[in-house]
Amino acid sequence: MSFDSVTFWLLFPCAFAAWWLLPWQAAKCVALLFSLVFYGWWNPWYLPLILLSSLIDWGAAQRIHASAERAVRRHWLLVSLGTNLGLLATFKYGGFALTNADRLARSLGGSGLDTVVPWVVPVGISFYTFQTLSYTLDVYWRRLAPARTFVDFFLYVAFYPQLVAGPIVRAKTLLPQFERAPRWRPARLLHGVYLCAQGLFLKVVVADNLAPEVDRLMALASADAPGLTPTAAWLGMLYFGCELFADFAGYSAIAIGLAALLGLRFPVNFLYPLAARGPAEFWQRWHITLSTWFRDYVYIPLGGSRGGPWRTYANLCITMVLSGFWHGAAWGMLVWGALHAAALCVERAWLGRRAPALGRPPSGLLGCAAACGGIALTQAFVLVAWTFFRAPEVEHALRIVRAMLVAPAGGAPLGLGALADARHLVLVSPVVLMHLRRLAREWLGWRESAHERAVGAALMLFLLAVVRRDNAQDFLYFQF
Amino acid sequence: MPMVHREQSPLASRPAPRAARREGYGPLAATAALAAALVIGWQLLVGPRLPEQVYHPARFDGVLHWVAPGVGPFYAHGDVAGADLVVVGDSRAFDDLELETLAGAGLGRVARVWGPNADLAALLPTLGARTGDGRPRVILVVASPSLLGADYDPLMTVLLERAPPELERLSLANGLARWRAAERPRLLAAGPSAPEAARAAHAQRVEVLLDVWAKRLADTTRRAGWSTKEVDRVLNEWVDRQRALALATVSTQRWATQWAEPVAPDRLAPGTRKMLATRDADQRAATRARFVAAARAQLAEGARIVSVRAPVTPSVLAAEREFVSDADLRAVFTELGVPFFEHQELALPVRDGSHLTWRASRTYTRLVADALRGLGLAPNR
Repeated sequence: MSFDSVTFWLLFPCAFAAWWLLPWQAAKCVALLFSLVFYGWWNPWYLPLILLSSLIDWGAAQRIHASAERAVRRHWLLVSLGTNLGLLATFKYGGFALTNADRLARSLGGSGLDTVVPWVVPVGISFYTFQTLSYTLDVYWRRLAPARTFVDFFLYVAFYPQLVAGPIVRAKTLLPQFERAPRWRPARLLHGVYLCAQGLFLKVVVADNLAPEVDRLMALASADAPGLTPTAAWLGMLYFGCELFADFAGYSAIAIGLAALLGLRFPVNFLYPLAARGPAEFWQRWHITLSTWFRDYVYIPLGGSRGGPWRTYANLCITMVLSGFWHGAAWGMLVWGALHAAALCVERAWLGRRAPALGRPPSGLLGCAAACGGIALTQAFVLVAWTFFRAPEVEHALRIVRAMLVAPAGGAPLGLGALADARHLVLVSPVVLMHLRRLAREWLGWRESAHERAVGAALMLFLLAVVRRDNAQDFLYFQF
Repeated sequence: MPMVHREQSPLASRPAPRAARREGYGPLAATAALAAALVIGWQLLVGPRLPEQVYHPARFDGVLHWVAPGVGPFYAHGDVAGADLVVVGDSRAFDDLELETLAGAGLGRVARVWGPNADLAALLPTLGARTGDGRPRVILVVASPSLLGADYDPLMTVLLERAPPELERLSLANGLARWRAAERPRLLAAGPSAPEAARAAHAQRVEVLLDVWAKRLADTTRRAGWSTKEVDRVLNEWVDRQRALALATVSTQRWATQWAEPVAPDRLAPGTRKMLATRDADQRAATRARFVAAARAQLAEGARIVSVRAPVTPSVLAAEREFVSDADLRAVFTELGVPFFEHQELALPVRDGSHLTWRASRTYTRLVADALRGLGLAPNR
């Protein structure tokens, strides 16, 4: 079931009523049942996997917590890590490994392998395995006490607002909220309604309507067609940047909004990433729950910045390449992660602690000009890097990058080419406006009033009503 | 992010977003009221000024209805096997007649099988035979000169050369990937090898065709039986339809046809000429004979056949008459002894010369329903 489906919004009122009206323990059981229906709606065969992962992590965490012996604790931690990473390796990376083994075998003169694996990647497996991994690791490191009951733990893993595409909510954030019933607060309800409206608007109006234009660009790239002009490449990738933001930030907004409707708090997942002035700030704003996960469970355990500059760069590279690989089993994802790693290293080497950071507004006119330049450069880099994220093959991505960066210098025609319609720029405008509003808040201290918020939400609801949806797309992050 | 340590990161200590201050339900009510006011204002002020939507909001292409290798494609709407009335024909059968309106007019259970420039001689024997559940009681043939032969798309012909795919095998994403991988080189080989621009354009078309067909095959397998996705589809389409019927909606993907080029009555005249020119008189005579034989077989099985010719613009009609005269088409149904309603010169809004706008299609469907009822074809229930 998807947040943008009619089915979900027909069933959610029942889940909402049960959550608030039933006794707390029963409410949690009903929420768990609804979560399983929600997840099984895609494919009921996915359910045993999530149950298996949860059972093993639940049991492992209990034993880790109960034992004082280092060897026992380590043993159960390895069981948990092995299970989760094994599930990921099998279901998400099995096909990739087979395909590359096939290519290798053919290049060595062999007959090749049958590269088709007999399963599809279970929806959201990357998200829930990361949640359960973090739970076991936190219990192992004595940062967290295990969940009191299996229902609480399974609800934490399978809770429908965050199950399939995040935000990646840590156990220490969500489990305490399951201990007692939340309080009904109109302001929280209002917050939830606004976030759901915003998320649906971003997904249904912006992302779904930009998607066909992006598909057109990718078809041009895959065919190496003459219509792939520099303008078409930049415009198409701008559309993709906005589509991806609207799609994923929209999903996160709905998830956080649903949690608010249920009286719960989820962490922020997007803080207007198009306003980032540098690569590091970009990652403080984009998919924050994932980047902080990698920071806490990969980068810092690797040594972080404590081992001198070269060790820091190495740690950054390992972390970012793994992050790229988490996003998808493809060489393009690895390139994408490596590009961001390189950008982070260059920024760190060049600017060090002077690198722009979240919450530090620019000072003076010169500072503002530098910040604007930083935003433009960062976004240009991010768009170029997205090509490897989006294109199905590295070769196709390279064609787009060539059209973006090399072709203009060679005097290529600058027309719109086969991407002949620039009217979809109007769909980019809500994304730009949202970011300008955020910059006004961060740089000038402007805060919108309740009335302004109400007007914004009403506008979004109105557009949701009148803009048709000819090409409903799955949420992009479901595939990760 | 990794390069920011916990103690340095403003995110690390960032609390979850605080809810808005205590404001009661006032802003929520204001939001709902303002959104409603905007919708009403839009409907009153902007709605009447918008060009009519050229596509019916509830239309989808339908599931694949396989006939034979190399023939088609045909798409089915509704349960063909259990239908009282099956509408068959080319794209006009899809665009110009509304199943719901026919069903609402008391014509019983209605289904449709259509294909661009459909080879009805190949289609007719398959109606009912595929499921063994009896033939339809009434077959409504939406006739046009393409009934006697036309070539819709050479690349599609290559795609259809192979036997109908085993749909069950394609139900998994990797099945579709395998199908795509196998079809791509065949389709590419069917294109030009030079010049470079033509080769690239052909390759681009191949990708588009593979994308469209992969989606269609996935939809077909999904709709082959009950599934949660089918529930989603039915609900989503119902809501979309109700919304589009109640509100003046806009579509970003249809800007080109909806705003910039609202109705182009002559647009399909050159294409019609080009498609019909792919057959000579002998080929048309052979197709005609096959169709007549197939229709006779249906009549012998007890089915009733009625035919209509849908409205088109004068330019498209002129293009059609260059290849098939009105009398030639009429003679087919006279020979069969079945009713043939000629509406080709009826003055209704035609969006591209060949297909009615969707509001006009509703009007036209009512007219056809009246004609069918006048023949006593409503089931006795």
